[in-house]
Amino acid sequence: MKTMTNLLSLSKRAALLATLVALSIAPCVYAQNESVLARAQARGVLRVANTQASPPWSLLDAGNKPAGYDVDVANELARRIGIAKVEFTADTFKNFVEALKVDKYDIVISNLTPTSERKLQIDFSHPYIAVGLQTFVRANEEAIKSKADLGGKRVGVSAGTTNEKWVRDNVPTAEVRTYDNSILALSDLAFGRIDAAVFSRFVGLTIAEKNGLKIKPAGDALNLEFNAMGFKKGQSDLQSAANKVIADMIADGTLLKISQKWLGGYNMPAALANAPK
Amino acid sequence: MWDLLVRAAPLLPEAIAVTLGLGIGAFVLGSALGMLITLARLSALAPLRWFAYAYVSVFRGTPLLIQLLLIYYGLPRIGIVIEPIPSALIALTLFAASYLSENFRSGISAVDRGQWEAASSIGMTYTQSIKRIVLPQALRVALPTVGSRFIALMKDTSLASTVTVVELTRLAEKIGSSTFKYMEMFLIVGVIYWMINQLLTFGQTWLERRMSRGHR
Repeated sequence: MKTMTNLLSLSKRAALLATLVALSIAPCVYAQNESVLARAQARGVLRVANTQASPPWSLLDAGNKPAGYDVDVANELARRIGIAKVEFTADTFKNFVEALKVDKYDIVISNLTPTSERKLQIDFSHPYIAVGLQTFVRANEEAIKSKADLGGKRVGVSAGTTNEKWVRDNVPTAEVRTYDNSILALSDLAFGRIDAAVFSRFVGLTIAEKNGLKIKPAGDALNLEFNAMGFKKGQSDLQSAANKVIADMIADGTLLKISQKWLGGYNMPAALANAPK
Repeated sequence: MWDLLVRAAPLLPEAIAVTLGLGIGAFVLGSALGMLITLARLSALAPLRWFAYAYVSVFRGTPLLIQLLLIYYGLPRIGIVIEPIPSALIALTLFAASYLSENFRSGISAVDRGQWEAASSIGMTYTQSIKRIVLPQALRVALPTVGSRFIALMKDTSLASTVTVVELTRLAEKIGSSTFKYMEMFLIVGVIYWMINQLLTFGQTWLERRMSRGHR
């Protein structure tokens, strides 16, 4: 019996020592590349960033809770990888990449486009959104119909987004005005301080409707853009988990249900079929 | 860092000009408005005093960012649409006037009552006493706090970036977001702000020395 207790205390001591060693090297592991997925699962909390100001992707509902397509996808992702709680952080596009790199949150699910510049800094899942950019103009505007008509005009975009990049790359003569979010830009379009704004079609339509803005889409979609979830580099477990969840949600109809709920009947899985493999 | 500076160089002069224009413009206009508010505050007419009190209370008691957003996004709802740079200049001026008027008031209060009495005893009117006797002394007293306000105002111009004005901060975000070198860009414009304000500090020291020549 005595030897048993001795053994027990010995194993206790060993465990204590092991814990101490583990704790002392923990900062090094963190500084290197701790698994974000494992950490989130251990904490039971997935920290998700979105703008909460880009309806219908992410917004605040009547009770001031995050809601929208991206929020539903985030909750579904957490549920399917066995994380009970999702903690949403509101941030802006210009901050997402830096904040992921310094672990402010685990994943960005916020209609984020995997551009080649962003891919140098962070990793992405497979696309879970496919949608076109659209020119918006005031309701009484007839002169602006196509990309060519944007030349020399004051064009509003959100700062640090792919719509800003698209306008700078494709309409170099446009006078680009940048805003902190799409609501401010589209309001300013209605006020008349800019001539056009380039936004994802659903963002523009939803904001115009919710805010009663007298603006309308002009011409055809400018492109087809794919959005994906973003996370820190070197997180292969999180990446494959996210990819599996996206594939499963397409296969079992969940993503169709979410897109019909938020995007006026839009068939997201069908649009995603055009995604480059 | 160097390649970033090279990339930013062609855009820097305009951004610096906008920052300086907003800062200096708001300081000059804000000083004029602030002086009027001070005179109203010290006026014998009660409604003028109440107005001045309410003005300072509102514009000093609310964040500049909120004032700017209300001017830029709020006023259009009642049909007043102002372009970005004038919006920023108006907001900075109104805000600066509230602080500067308090700086001027404390300067005027510091002038001995006897100076007023002496001025009127030799037959000066109110305007003459203020202009020739009280203000020159009051400004000398107020100079350090007014100088600090100028420097604070120069930094407050960064808020104009929220209403699409491309000044130094917005330029840093713009180049930062296309290169993802935010921190380096913020460091570059941080140094530029510091250099501008260091020049202002030198100017203030020179002025203080000059204005106190007769008092040593």
